[in-house]
Amino acid sequence: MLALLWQLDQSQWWPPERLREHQLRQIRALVEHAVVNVPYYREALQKTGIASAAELDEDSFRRWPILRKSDIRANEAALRASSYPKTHGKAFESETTGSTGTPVRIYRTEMEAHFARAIMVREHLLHGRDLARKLGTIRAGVTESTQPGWGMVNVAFDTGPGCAISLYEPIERLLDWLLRERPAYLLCTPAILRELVLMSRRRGVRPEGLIEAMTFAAMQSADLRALVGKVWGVDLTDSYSCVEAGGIAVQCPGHDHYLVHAENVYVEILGDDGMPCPPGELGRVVITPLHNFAMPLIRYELGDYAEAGGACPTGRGLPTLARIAGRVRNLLRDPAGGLRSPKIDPSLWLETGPVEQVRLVQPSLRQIDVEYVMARDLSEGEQEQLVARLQEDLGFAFDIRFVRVPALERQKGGKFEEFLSLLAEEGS
Amino acid sequence: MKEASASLAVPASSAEGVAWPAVPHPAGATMLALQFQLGRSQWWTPDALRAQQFRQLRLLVEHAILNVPHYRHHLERAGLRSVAELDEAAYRRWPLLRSRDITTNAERLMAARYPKEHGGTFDSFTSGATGTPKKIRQTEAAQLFVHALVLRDHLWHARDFTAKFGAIRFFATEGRSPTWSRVTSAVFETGAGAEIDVTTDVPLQLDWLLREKPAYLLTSPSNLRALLAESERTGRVPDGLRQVITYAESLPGTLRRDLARLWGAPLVDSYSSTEAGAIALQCPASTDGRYHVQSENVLVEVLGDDGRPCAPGETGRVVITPLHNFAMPLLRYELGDYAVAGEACACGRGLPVIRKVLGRVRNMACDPHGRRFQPGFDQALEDTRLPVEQFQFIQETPSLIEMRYVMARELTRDEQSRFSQAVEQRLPYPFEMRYRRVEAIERSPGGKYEGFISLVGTELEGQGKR
Repeated sequence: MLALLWQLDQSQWWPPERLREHQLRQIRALVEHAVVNVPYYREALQKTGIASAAELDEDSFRRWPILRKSDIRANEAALRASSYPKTHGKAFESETTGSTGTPVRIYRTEMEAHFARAIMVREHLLHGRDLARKLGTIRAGVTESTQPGWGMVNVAFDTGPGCAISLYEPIERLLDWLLRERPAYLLCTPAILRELVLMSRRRGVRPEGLIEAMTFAAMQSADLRALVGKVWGVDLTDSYSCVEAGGIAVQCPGHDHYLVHAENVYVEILGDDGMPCPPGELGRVVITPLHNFAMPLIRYELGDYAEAGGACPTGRGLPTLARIAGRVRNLLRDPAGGLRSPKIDPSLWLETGPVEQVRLVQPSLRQIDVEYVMARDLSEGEQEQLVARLQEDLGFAFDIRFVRVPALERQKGGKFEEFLSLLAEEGS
Repeated sequence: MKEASASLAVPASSAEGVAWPAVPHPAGATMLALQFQLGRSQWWTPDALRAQQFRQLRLLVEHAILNVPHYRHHLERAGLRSVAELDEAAYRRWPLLRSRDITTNAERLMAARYPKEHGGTFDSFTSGATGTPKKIRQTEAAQLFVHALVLRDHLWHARDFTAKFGAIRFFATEGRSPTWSRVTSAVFETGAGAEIDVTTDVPLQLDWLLREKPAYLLTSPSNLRALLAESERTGRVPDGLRQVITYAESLPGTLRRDLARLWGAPLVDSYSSTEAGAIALQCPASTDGRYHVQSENVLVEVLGDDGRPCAPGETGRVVITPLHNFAMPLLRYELGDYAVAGEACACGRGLPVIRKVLGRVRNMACDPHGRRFQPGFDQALEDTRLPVEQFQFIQETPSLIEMRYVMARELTRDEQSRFSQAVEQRLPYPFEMRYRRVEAIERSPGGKYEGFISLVGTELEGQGKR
């Protein structure tokens, strides 16, 4: 683990060209394996127009056919390697539903998990976390418990204790747990975090001893950091990961942009023409996990959208993402046809009501429904004010309707969609 | 890890299909695990470093008082009731271990037992300047740390592992190898290596250098000086040399400049000993050739005559405690070298600084007032441009220094007088100079060349730089 971390310590500072050169070196090894041992990829080299994996470069790799979630579902067996190097250890299954709710089964190896663990530790080290403190985790697949350490991190480091609770517990209970356990670091989904912060504000309580909140599973709205800072007075760090690849990117310390874990995954942000997006442009996220030889996912379209970033101002050579926008169904489509993340000033909801929970739904090109949870209906005056502000923030005079609902459910996996488009999906 | 010190090197991978990041085989992984820690600890504050050093030191001392006869009563002698009380101030009361304690008492310094995770032991013999052999026993664990610091030096100085490495060593057999060394190739795929013995005639060494064309050359300062002189005399300059790494002797003040002038290569010096491995390595960022103490493996004290730590700029005796050798713990071992303590380094590393390594006590001049200093003969030789092939200065009495030189003819009276004048201007005492032409300059029993030997007041037997 430390041998790997030493390499990650160095490579983060490499020039982008050197990183890409070594990514391609690893991709060639993966492709060489895949075309021989994975039936699904048997014809892939020909389709890409190259004779051997050795010829693969950035340009030719862009011709490699995109793998979609539906392809994985339809070709699960054909995507599994008939054999792979023994040194990669046993294969195990992981299932993911993602935000589309469509289950996909992935086969991973111990080798790939080893890299995923190292990437997780890198994120802790990158953010200078004090490993001797307590870590609290709210996630799926656990029951309320305390542990002597931070789990996987203990492979390499002595740590303080950990505590965990299931994300399916009611928010009230999660907040009680947080106040009782007093972790220095809290890891949970953005949706849970938002609800915890809002609930604690309503109850007039604040988790003591908390240093940093960490979110995963992406789809973090722009305002969450401000909200956590304002109500709890702590920093928020987001990371972008998925079951299929482990860590994809993590927020750069002291900045808003994300650093791609180039040593673990090759990430492309592609425009509609299939070409890489320049910095500042939103595109589809296509990933190639570099070390999964049991079920190679080569140019896998994750179904997320992200904004390509520029050079990292810290001097790190890792590629960057300016923003992770989430699924296409979490993006606003304006009547002119443009696709973007809806940006709404968070104070809007804090100043009105109190609105406890809110979700915007786009059922048609010109209409936005505001689904909200509140003790009473919004008054006409409040609605009028909100319409004006929302139209301004969304950048178009949408027809805005208000629908009071008893509760807004999270998805399985704990994700909560603050914006939901019902327009026909593309890409995923 | 900081940007400027990031290494571009990619370790060799042992897992099929995994080229990058590499999955090294176990020995390489252990070495990189140590590099990961060294990569971070170098930036710790001096206080944080000292706290961890003393954590390790207490383990070593606890082991030593139980298992090493020599130390059985040392805790009481240091005025301590338990090892837990050991801190910086208390450790300063721990009795010093001297070279003669090792030569006369080696068996009592060997541990009756030590943790089996530390692996096997091996003995090395070091004769020092006086030729009295000392047996040093080390564990495999201790050796691992020594090797890790060899690798740190390569990484600090951004050496390109794919290039060729040449070494002119003591007791070497001329030959080539496919890699730099076992230590380096355990982690990285390296270019070829070539070595030759330091006692080879200098013109033949230069032939070898021109033939082998290494990118990196490891040799002793005196040998480098002889090579440079030969190169200047014949006009033959090695091709493709990127760096010269020196060790084993104190570095003459003019050598760095001469190397840059004649071969256009930078010089990287190191300070090490048989007993501890690397003690201090040249700072990769400094331009004045200062050294960083390798605090992760050795506790280093530079002590004044009163036994107190020297302030920056002061010269003192070097006292070391290698932190990981449980087979033969050397606690507060007075190495016999002198060094100039340095101030915190501008590079930001928290590792303590040694400004200059002056070498052994017997390589320091001592005037009739008892003042000790490093004699600046190099500068005087450069200024007067005496055409000597080899030289050695011997301080015979408190006020008399003899210059022994190898040359085709005797020095003229005029040459002698010019040199005597130059010396008088540079040394704090007007020594009487005597000149004697000799057939050859003998090396010390350990194969080292000593440019200056004082026969005055050198009761302290130094081991000196390895």
